[in-house]
Parts: sequence; structure tokens; C-alpha cells
Amino acid sequence: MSDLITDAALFERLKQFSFVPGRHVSSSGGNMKKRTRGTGGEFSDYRNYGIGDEIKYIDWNIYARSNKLFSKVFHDEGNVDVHLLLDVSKSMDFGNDNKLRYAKNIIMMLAYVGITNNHNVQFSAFADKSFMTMSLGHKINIFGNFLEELEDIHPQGETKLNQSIMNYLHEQKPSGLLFVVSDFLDEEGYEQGLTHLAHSPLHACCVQVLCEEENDPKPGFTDHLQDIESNRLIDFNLTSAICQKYIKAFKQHIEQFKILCLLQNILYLNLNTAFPIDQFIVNLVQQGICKRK
Amino acid sequence: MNFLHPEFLYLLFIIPVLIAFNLFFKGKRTLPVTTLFIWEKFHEECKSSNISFNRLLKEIPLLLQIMFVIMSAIMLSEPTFLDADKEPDREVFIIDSSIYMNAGTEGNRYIDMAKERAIQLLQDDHRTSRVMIIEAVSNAEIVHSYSRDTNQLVDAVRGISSTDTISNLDQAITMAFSLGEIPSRIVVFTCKLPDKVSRHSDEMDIIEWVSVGDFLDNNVFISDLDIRQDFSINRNYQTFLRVSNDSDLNQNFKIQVYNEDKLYEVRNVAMSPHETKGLLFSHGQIMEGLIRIKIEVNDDLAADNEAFILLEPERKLSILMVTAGNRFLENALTLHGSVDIDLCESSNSEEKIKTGNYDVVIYDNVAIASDISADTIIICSKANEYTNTEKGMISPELLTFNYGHKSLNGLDLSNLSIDKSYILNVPEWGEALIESEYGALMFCGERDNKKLLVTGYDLMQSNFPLEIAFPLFISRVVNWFNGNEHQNWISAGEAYHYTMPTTYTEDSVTVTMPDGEQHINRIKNNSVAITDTMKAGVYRIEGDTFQKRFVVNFQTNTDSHNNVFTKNIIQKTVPVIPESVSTKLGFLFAVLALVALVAEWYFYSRT
Repeated sequence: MSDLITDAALFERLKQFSFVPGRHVSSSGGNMKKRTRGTGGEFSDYRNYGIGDEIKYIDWNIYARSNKLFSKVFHDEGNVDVHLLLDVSKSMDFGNDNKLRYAKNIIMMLAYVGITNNHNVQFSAFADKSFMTMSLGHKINIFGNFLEELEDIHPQGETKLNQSIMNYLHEQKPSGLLFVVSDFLDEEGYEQGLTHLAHSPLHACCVQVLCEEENDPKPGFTDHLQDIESNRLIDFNLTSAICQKYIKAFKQHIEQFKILCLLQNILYLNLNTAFPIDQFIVNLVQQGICKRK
Repeated sequence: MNFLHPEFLYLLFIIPVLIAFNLFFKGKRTLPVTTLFIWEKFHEECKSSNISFNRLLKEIPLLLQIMFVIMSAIMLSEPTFLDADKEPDREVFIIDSSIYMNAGTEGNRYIDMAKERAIQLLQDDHRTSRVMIIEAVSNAEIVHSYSRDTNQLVDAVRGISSTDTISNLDQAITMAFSLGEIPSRIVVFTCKLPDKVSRHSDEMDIIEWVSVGDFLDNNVFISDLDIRQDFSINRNYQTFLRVSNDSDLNQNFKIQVYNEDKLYEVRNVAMSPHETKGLLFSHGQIMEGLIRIKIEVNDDLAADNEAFILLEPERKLSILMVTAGNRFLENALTLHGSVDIDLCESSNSEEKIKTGNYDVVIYDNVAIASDISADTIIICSKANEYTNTEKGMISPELLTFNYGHKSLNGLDLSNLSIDKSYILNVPEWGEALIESEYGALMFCGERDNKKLLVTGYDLMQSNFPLEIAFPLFISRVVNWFNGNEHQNWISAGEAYHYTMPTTYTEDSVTVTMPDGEQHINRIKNNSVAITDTMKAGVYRIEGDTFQKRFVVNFQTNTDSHNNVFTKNIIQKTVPVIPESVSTKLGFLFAVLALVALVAEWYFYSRT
């Protein structure tokens, strides 16, 4: 069975949305406009005229004063870089409503919104290291290939959030929008990665995907609990009281992550795989990341 | 607590297997999680505070399995609870399956009623006792030993069928008392009381008589039967028949006589209440074949209204009497008619024996020959190994007569007195016929195919030759020597032995019963024994080159038909068994075991 949704109605609905680059919260606390340049309507800067630049953007007043050709540069609202990072570690392959399948669909939806709005979409899957990167640009014609690649991704390795994010920032030097889709359940923590995100020229959004078994485990007779990534065991009998303790600790962990995101000016979305996935785009609109065109 | 099927308690041996499996083989239940670090935050805390409780919880599946096994074992073994101070009772059910139990209408015979009543008692839910089933026929048989298994006991009762034998309730009751501990109750299902019960009065208290059917108060029956040849030149056969009217009514009926199913005589008979009448039937020129005598009367019991006789050409017996003179014996032998008698003195007896080729040699008050080469009768001869001469001749007081033996069966020897007699040494192969306080005075037996009858007394020293029984006794002895005594007529329930002709070489014969059922009987030592003779009628022994018939008659004897229950006696009904608490808890345990399984599934297997 395919992991990805092929509902045509969903794609038609996604076409109605676009990303809102100006609404993202900057590290300085105010609204930041996209620092990339384009040919949008609001003036941004000058640059030396080069071959291929359109003549209509040449500032003839400066040419008259300095005898040099400068092209006007404007804020570009239609050509934002969108980076999509998907956690494909073994911990994502969990739950009756599988987290990885859910996360793949989120990536697919984000990529579609990006491509249909003429953004440059860059996708990367990571586990203990980034193992696959695919640049979609704004070409809708390779979206099919992208979906095939996405479909073929299988869970592997352990979650190394800090390392993966830092590697990506170092190698890609990205700008624009960045979505990290993961369960953010990394024993080694995620603070370092979030800090690097906060100091990058990116508008980052952490999408935490969790399943019902993680949010609300049911009591049952067990001898051990086993980490599905490391296969490590600890003795535990899942009594009702222990489940309550876990739920409390788990909520605390989620809350801490959420606060850390807020402190780092990173947008945070928590998704439960039990909920319908098409509500995700509504969440993005509510958070001001997307708008209806 | 007692168990109806204790063998199922062996299921409890599964428990150590379960424990071993749980300890050594059973895989641990592991729950996968995405990360452990959140669980580890409170792992140590839980481990220290709830360790014993958690261990107990983890062992709950094993405990439930053990509980399930225990409950299953208990359920299948069917526990019953008795009063703590009361041992389970032993009861004996004696079911009379004699000829009298054939009375009644088809499908509702007395035997059916008796079985039904016995099954009702066995199936009483309150019964906790162990029951033994005995079938009372001519020789009582244990049909089922002590058991509490109702189904097996009921099957055993259902397997009992009526026979044409006399009842021997006394023997059955004696058997009930003698097997193990004395039972707490003996229930006898019969339509008539026995003549006697050889128990003390206190033991009689535990015997309960259950009457079945109506009383046999209207019965006409053949009470005795004998056949012999008359003194005519042709020595024709004639049958003596004794018929009894055991009712309060005058009876008028016909007696029909058949030869091989061909009716050749009908006689009208009128009898007053409780009259016994002797009738003589002469068979004229009929010298061989099956004679069937049937009383045509509508009474309570049809099975005793018919008798069978098989006539066969008789072989002459050649007898040498070595005697100084014994007219009584000589006359009695002559009366039989099938004997040729030679007389001689003891002085020339040995030569006579060697040259005469006699079937039987009688030594009457003389010394016997050194080599016994024929069947022999020894009368008061002191020079032989069987006569104990150390004590000399004594004046015996007669104690017992072996009426079970063919030679004495039906004879009245109550007036017999013997003045002087030697005591005899009865060999292992011999059977005492008359016994005194000092030992046997007469015995007979067979060794190395030679028959021997020995008396310790001189016939002239007793009043035996003057008794009516004497010629009958001599006649039967001659029949015994002649091989006729069992040749074609036995009573129901007796074993029939037949020595096969030397020309017959097969190792088995087919025996066809009166109802047509056939059995294969093995031949041992050139002889065949047929023991299943419970039904009256004609039996056939057949082989490839051999055919032989014999008849089985209902054995008429002194067992009176008058001993039916009186109205007062049968009012003693069988009390409803046991007041002791008896509850089968199988159903309850079954439900509990099911609950245990569901609980295990809910708490363990479903996760």
C-alpha cells in the first residue's frame, strides 16, 4: 500500500495556499522580510548590471550621475527557498497510525504548496546523518519523481537531531523557509540544533509528529521495554500507575521542547497521527505560515 | 471429598511442566517503544517501590494457567463431598435374571422392570455410594465391580438379559457378603423370594427386596422330567412328566408332544389348585429324534411350559459283576435294560476280565484285580488304595449328599442309613457323593479315561437297596458309565461337555444356540465344553464332518414357585439413598475455569 495520499481533491485544495515569508518571527523579535532577492514589487537594493538583466530594471538616474549601470533589486514574494527536512530514523516507524507515513504526507503537502507557488523546494531525509537530498526547484514536472523517491524512503538509523541539523546548515547554507518534520525524541537532546537554526538566515518551523501509543500508552503485562532504534532493554511492567507517570513525563518533555522553540523564535507544530492529515494545512494557516491566495 | 474419575487428577502433573516452561522456555514479553529516556526518568523510582508487586503482576498469567489446570482436573474428576465422618457406602445390586423374570408381556418383562428400577436408583443424583452389580442366575456372576461411575453401572445393568436358568439368589447374596467389606446395603431385584438365605438375621437387615412385576400366582409348569425305556421287547421310550399347578385356580389345558416339530400326541389335563400330577407319555415306535413337550396354558410364565428330550439309539453296556452274589444290584442293573451282565467269582475274575472285553467291572465285596483296565465300581473292598482300613469299619452318621452330581440329582436319600462302612480316601480327581462325619463313604471320578465309583460300605450293610432311589441311582450310574449322562440333556446354566469322536480332526466346532446365534468353540483334549447354556432349547454342535444335538431344559427342582412376595413383604420399599451431602461441582468448576481463561486473555494475551 502506498504511504502517500493520492487524493486529487487534496491537491486541488493545496493549490489555494501559499507560504507567507513576511510573517515569520525574526531573531530580533520583529517581522522580517525575506532577504533573498527577486523581481517583486518592493525595492530592496542595487547591484551591478550583468548580462541577462532586464533593461527595465536599470536605474537610469544613477547611470546619468555615475555613468555606471546598476540594476534595481526588489523583494521577491514569489520565489522563496523552502527546505524540507524529514526524520527517517527507526523511531519514526512506529504506531498503528505510522508516524513516518504521516510525516511523508506532510512533506508531500509542503512540497506541493511550495512548487505550485513557484518556490525553490529542497528536500532532505536524515537519520543519524543526512542520507538523501533532492532539489525540486519550482518544477512541477519532477514532482512525480519526488513522490517516488519519498515513497522509497525506509526507516533506518538513530535520531541525531543536533548533528543532522548542523550538518544541513553547514552544507546547504540555506535561506528562506525550513521545515523539520520529526518526533524530536532524541536522547542526546536537540538544543544545539535549535540554536543553530535560530542563528541561521532561516525561518524555521519544527513539526513534531507523535502517535497515540506515545501520547497515551495502555497498561499491559510486559517484562521489558525495548528502544526500537538501539534495541536497548529496560525492565518494566506497564501498570496503570507507571503509564500515568510516563504520560506526565512525556507531556513535560513536549512542553519543554515547545518552550525552547518559542525562545529560539522557531515555530512549533505538534501533530498526532490519529488526527486527519488535511488539517495540517489549516494549522499552518492558523500559525501564519500559509495564506489563502 | 471424593472423585468419581480420580484418574483425571493426573492432569495436575501438568503444573510442574507449566512452571518449568515459564521459567526456562517462555519468551519474555517485550514492548517496543520509540525512546527509553523518558521511561528512564522514573524507572529507578518504580523499581525500588513496586518491585514485589510488579513481580506478582508479571506472574499472574502463570498463576491463571495453574488455576485453570487445577480447575480442569477437578472438574473432570467430578468431586463429590460427603459428610466428613462418613465413608462412602458400598452397595450391591442383585438382579435376578432367572427364568421367572421372563414373565410379563413382550417389552415389559419382569427383567426389564428390574433393570429399569435398578437404573433409577443408580441415577439418583444423591447417590454417593459405590455399587456392585451381581446377576443372579444358576451361578451368580459379578457384572460390574464396585464403582461410582453411574454410566458404567447403568451400561452393566442394561447388558443383563433374562435366562432360562433357576435363580440362585442365596448364592448371589453370599457372594455380595463375601467380596470385600460387608456392604451397607444389598438391594435384590426379583419377582420371588428364595427358599432360604444363608445369612444371620442381623445381616438380613441390610438386604432390601425390591419386587418387580405382578406375582407369579397363576403358573403351571413342568416340574420334573425323566425318560427311560420300558420293559417291552422293543424297549420303547417313555417319558415321565411331572406338572405342577401353582395357582389358586383350576386349570384345564392340553399337553402337546412333538417329534421333530411333528405333533403326534395331545392330552387334556385338568388340575386342581396347587396340585402336582405325574404323567407318562409313551413314544411308541419313536426311537430317536427330538421330542418336544409343550403345555398349552395361558399363565404368568411361558418359559417353564416347554421341555425337550433327545432320543438316541442306546449302546449296550457290557458289565462283569465279580461278586459272591448281590441280587439287589443285579436286578437294578437289569432294570436299566441297556446292559449285558456277566457274573463270576473273584477266583476266576482276572481271566474273565482279560478275555471278556467288558466295559465295566464291578467288584462287590471282593478284592480287586491288580490292573484296572476298564471302568470300575468298587463296593466295600478293603484291598485298594482308596479304602482307609486303618480305622476299620465305623458306624457313620451321614452328613451330606452331593445332589449336584448327576447320579444323585433329584433323588431322596433322607432315609438312607448305613450300618458299617470304611472311610474312603478321595483322590484329587474324585468327587465325594456321600460324606459322613469321618469322611467320604462314596465317591466317583475319572482318571486316564477310566471311570471309577467307590463305596466304602457293603450294600447289604445299608438300607440303600431297599430305597426307591436305588434303581434310579444305579440307572444313572450306568448312564454315566455309558457316556449318556450328559450326552443330550442338561439344565439351563450347566456346562455341556462332549468328547469328540476320534475321527474328527478339526480344532474347533460351531455351536448354534436355540435363537440361531452361533459361536465357535475350541476343542481341548479332544473335548468341547459349551458353557453358554442359559437359554432352553435345542443346541447344535457342528463341524465339517460332524453334527451333534443336545437339549437344554429349564431346570426344575425343589425351588418352589410359591415363594413369591407376599403383599406385606413388598411394601418394604427401597428408601431414597443417602442423606449425606452430595453435590457434583463440575459445572461450577467449569465456569470458574472459563472465567480464569477469559481473565488471562483480557489481562495478558490481548496486549
